[in-house]
Amino acid sequence: MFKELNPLLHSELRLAVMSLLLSVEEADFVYIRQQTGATAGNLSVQIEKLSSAGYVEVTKTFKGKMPCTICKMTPKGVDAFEEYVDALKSYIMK
Amino acid sequence: MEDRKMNEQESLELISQMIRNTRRNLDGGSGNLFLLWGYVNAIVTMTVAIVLSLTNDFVWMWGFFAIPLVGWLLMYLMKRKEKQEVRTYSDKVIGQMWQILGLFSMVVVLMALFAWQMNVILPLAAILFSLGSIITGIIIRYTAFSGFPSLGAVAGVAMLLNTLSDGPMLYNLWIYVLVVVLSMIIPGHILNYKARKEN
Repeated sequence: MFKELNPLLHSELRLAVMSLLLSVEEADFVYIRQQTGATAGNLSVQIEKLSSAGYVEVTKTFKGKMPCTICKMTPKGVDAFEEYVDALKSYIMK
Repeated sequence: MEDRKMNEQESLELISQMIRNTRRNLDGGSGNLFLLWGYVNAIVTMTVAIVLSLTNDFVWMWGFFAIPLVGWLLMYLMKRKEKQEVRTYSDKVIGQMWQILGLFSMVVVLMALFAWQMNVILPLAAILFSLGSIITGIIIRYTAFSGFPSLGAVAGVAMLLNTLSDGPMLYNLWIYVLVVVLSMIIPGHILNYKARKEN
């Protein structure tokens, strides 16, 4: 029996963001953009979707005079990611 | 990277690749905080020791309060310039451990002042920051880093024993400088050297 893949995570860029945030405590927007190679506009939109779903917590702050956006995965995000990986396993092991 | 759907295999590969990307080496200048606090401690202590041996006036011992003042000011200036784009769980644990040690050191200072037992401050501080350096070495899984602070902790205990047996104060000051070198300055340089080699 196949489990349904969470459509919010089953997208290349959103999954990449979640995978990055899973391995660190928190990451700056610039770092995520460098690692994913996405454009700033597209990345903002996808992070906003993850944030609206409660998977990612976004904090806008300043580092000196430069604006800085910090992203951190929430416990709800971790749960969703685990469920997604479990669902993936059910497809791979078929 | 775009907002496109993937098949299951691609999803797994993407997850693995992103997790691999976050496995990073030490940042350049990782040892700078150790060096900052190490050199501030060493310079202030040596200055106090020299002035004390010249004047024999223990009022100069209040000069030690320059350590937190100068240290925190320089650390604030250093952190303002720092551009840390990602914080790992290890960074968080190490940061919190040093915060707790810093707070505990302040409690030690306040209690010692209250009890008018200032001579125990330096030995306890030496033991505390040596333990902090040892634990940092364990967390970053760099055993060579912990070796020198282990010697520093032993020297800190020697300072404490000297204090409890009413030994000479000047002896403690120079041992304290040795502890600072073993537990902060040498590990700081080791860390920066390792970071330079990795990057």
